[in-house]
Amino acid sequence: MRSKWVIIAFLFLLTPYPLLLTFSTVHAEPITVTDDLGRDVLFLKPPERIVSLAPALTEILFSIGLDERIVGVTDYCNYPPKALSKTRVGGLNANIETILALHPDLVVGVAGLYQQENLTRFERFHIPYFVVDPSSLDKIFATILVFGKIADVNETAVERVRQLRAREDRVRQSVRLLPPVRLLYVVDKEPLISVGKGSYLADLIREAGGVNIAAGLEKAYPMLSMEYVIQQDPQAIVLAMDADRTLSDQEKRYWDRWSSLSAVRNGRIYKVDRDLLNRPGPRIMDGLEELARLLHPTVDLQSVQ
Amino acid sequence: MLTFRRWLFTLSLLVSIWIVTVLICLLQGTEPITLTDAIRIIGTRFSSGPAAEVDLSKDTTILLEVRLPRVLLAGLVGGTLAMVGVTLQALLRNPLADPFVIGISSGTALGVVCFLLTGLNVSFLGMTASPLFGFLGGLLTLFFLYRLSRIHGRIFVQTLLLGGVILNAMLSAVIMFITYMVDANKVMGIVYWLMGNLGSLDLKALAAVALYAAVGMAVLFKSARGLNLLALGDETAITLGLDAERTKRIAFFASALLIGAVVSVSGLISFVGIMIPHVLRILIGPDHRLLLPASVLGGGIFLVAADTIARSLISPIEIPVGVITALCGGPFFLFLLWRGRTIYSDS
Repeated sequence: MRSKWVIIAFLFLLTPYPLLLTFSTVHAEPITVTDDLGRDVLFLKPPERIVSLAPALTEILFSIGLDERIVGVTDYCNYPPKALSKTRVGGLNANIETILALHPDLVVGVAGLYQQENLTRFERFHIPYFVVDPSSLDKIFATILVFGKIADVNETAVERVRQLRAREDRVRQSVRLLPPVRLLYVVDKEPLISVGKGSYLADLIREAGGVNIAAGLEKAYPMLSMEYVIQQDPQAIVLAMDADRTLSDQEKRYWDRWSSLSAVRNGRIYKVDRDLLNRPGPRIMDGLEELARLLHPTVDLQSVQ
Repeated sequence: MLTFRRWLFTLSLLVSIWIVTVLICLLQGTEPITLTDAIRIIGTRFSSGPAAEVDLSKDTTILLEVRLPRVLLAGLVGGTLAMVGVTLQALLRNPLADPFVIGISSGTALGVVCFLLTGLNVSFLGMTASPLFGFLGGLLTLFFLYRLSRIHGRIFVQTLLLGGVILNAMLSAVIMFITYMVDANKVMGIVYWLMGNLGSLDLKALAAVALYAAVGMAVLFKSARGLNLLALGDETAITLGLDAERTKRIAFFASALLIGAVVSVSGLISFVGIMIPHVLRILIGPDHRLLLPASVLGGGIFLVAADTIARSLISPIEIPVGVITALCGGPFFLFLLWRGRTIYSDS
């Protein structure tokens, strides 16, 4: 009686093998890639239907030419324009039904918010879920490379990273000999939230030739005391709160209250497009160049090659 | 029995503690400022002598433009929350009542969150319009709650309490929904704001809020005797010659308007409004003629101290002040409750 079941079980085990063989002859070899949570994710073939759960990841996927393979993006994904025509799967906490309906063979997300919930549910529905943690410039590049590997577009990814690295080097070289500018980076102003350790923005500010006054703080996005800001006396203030670059009269007045700050006295309050800086994706180099130009108006990024 | 001498003595004592606390807390913070520096700074500011040397100018800004408005605002907000807590506990005849229970605070918070959400660059009297939006949200809630609980010209406190609790829950849900749906770039600001924040007013705006609060406090203080009688129950109060409806209406409106103003400038700072009234009742008794002014001072002292801890404990990183009020106030309250448990079991 029992042996009969064993034989049947064996037959079932055997049947998928010919199928697998045909797959592996058509596509690239199965690969195992470790994500930033240390999980090994197995890919039998390059994914064809990818859902991105973060704007930065969407931008990375597009930048390595996966336009056709992206099937779902978040409500916040507004770049490149082509991303707007993809199916929206929700905001911070994506809608699992929408995602399931897309039949993805890969979901990519960033570590942090809703990470555990996503892990549980994608595991339950057997959807490969790959988590990245782009918390430094190097990790952003690593993310681009690893996506290239998974999607079997290695050359494109390597080339993209090479270009980005070259731009990074150019900025670094340009500001190398200039005196660094003390900087207050404002994520939000009431209450005042800045950037501390554990954010790629810390790298970015340093490479743009700035000294982040909150650099030593053991919190990625600390609520900062105004006393400290006045004591540190930043020479420039960078506001990364909105999608535009013009400082309104009201914002000017707001900062005028702190006229003891060098940055305020010298009119060095800059607004930057938050999407360039607050997204750890390929456009971060645009952000880096913009930041370097603001901090060092004399620098000519083109002349240094 | 409350004699004038005891009244005066208790309040003088509290005023002294209030002043000492404010002075000590003015000297605490990220930047060390010594007493002598502080005296020199104030001396330079108020004498028409030569401008301060360069090394003092930073400290001047920190002391007079960062710390002073903040410490005074903490005193004002703490005092208002505690006084309204006392009033609502008497009015609703419920020891669990606090300023946030009747939903005005959530209405106000919703107004502010909506403002933060739109990112409108509207200004009002030279400052950001966010308190104005908050106050409008509070007023709408107040109007709704008042219409709900007034039946044939009488305010039913049970309806008021229950209606308030339900409104509070509904409005909090809306805030949660907005926070959840909002652009990821704005979430942090909203969440931090909701946890309580005393750091953003300048002295001019502070003076406006203080003036407004003073009027509200005076109104509440005038109904102290009425609140004493209300505590005995509506019918007894009426028998003793009190216009119970009028007292209730005045106390409710004054409380709600005070809460709207305070929450709109400081966010949701929990615990002061429920803890300070009870602590003071244990310490100085339940007579509202003493309890109301004492709560203004006691709440102020407590919040000034708590906010100083919040801004200097792991400075220059600030801790949301609501965390400190609950963590420091809670154990102290439990201790008093334990010591005074015979008093509470009597009543």
